[in-house]
Amino acid sequence: MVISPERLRMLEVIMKLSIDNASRALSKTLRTGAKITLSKIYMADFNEATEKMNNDTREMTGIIVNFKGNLGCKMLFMLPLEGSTILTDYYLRQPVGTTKEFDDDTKSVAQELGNILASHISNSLVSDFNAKLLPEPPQVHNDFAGIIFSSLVMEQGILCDQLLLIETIFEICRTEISCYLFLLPELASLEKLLDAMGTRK
Amino acid sequence: MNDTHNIFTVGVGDAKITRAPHHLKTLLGSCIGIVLYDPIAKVGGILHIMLPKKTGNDSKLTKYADTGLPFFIAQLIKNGGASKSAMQAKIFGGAKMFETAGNLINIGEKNEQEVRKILKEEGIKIVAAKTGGTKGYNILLDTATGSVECRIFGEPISIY
Repeated sequence: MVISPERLRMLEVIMKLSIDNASRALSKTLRTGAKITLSKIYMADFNEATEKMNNDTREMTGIIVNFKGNLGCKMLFMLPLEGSTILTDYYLRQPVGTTKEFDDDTKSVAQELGNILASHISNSLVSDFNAKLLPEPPQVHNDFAGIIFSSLVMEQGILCDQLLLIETIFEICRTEISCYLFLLPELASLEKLLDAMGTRK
Repeated sequence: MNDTHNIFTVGVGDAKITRAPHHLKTLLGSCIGIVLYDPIAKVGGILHIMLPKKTGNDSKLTKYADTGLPFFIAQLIKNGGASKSAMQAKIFGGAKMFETAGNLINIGEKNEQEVRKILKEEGIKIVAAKTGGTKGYNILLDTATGSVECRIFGEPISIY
């Protein structure tokens, strides 16, 4: 599948708005700056993308949200394991270092953060672009970064050798936490949405 | 085990072949990693399959066990100078991963069954296997010795 430059630009505008929304909501929840910046939107070769991510063997917490509706999409928020304990402390308004290890509280907080990100990303798309997006409950999994990423792209990789990846740079102020936030729209439904918006193929 | 310049990474649904001093690594979830090694020619490779059988017109043979394994064996012989009678197999992965993967939940087990069946048909002995569970596998093949360093998330390293 080829996506025209005009469509990629349109998608960039849409995603910037959605990500800004999510960024503000997360900052408010954590009471610290959460800066999410759109890094790039691109068609990636499935093998190359997974090969690149398979080089990242860090232990991470991955939160995957599936969206149903007229725009099928998946979101992956992934942060280092130790970062999830720091965010738990921020979320629970307790001194950083209180949470020592990943436990049920950390998992709940990770799910909640996934919910916040997913709902604010989808709200923008629903209100501004007439998309219908219904987030499913977030799934949390601790594993190597490359494995979590593969879980995100596996289903699309079976159907197609190309992926449309939306990559961000995600930083939490006052910490060294550097996270991943990927969005993986389902190509056929995305094309229909862009058709409806009148962008050139 | 080695400096990173000597290590090549295998992506999902892909295969790579190399010889000493190079190493190959990959990460596996529900996929199966098949390590084939010829101890005489000292050449080896990793095939990273996603599904047991090819369906449809997908041209990427290495995604599937039924098309990927015969292709991988042929490449090891043709390009690596390996001998089929000397080849040894080690298999890893096949974990049950995220629930969000829908009907892919139990694919790890089906992948393993198909891989074992094909290797038996090809007459290649499986000398080591570590499969199943719910966590990912990080494997590294040393082509000088054929040994595979395997780390399952949250567990210590084992050598196979």
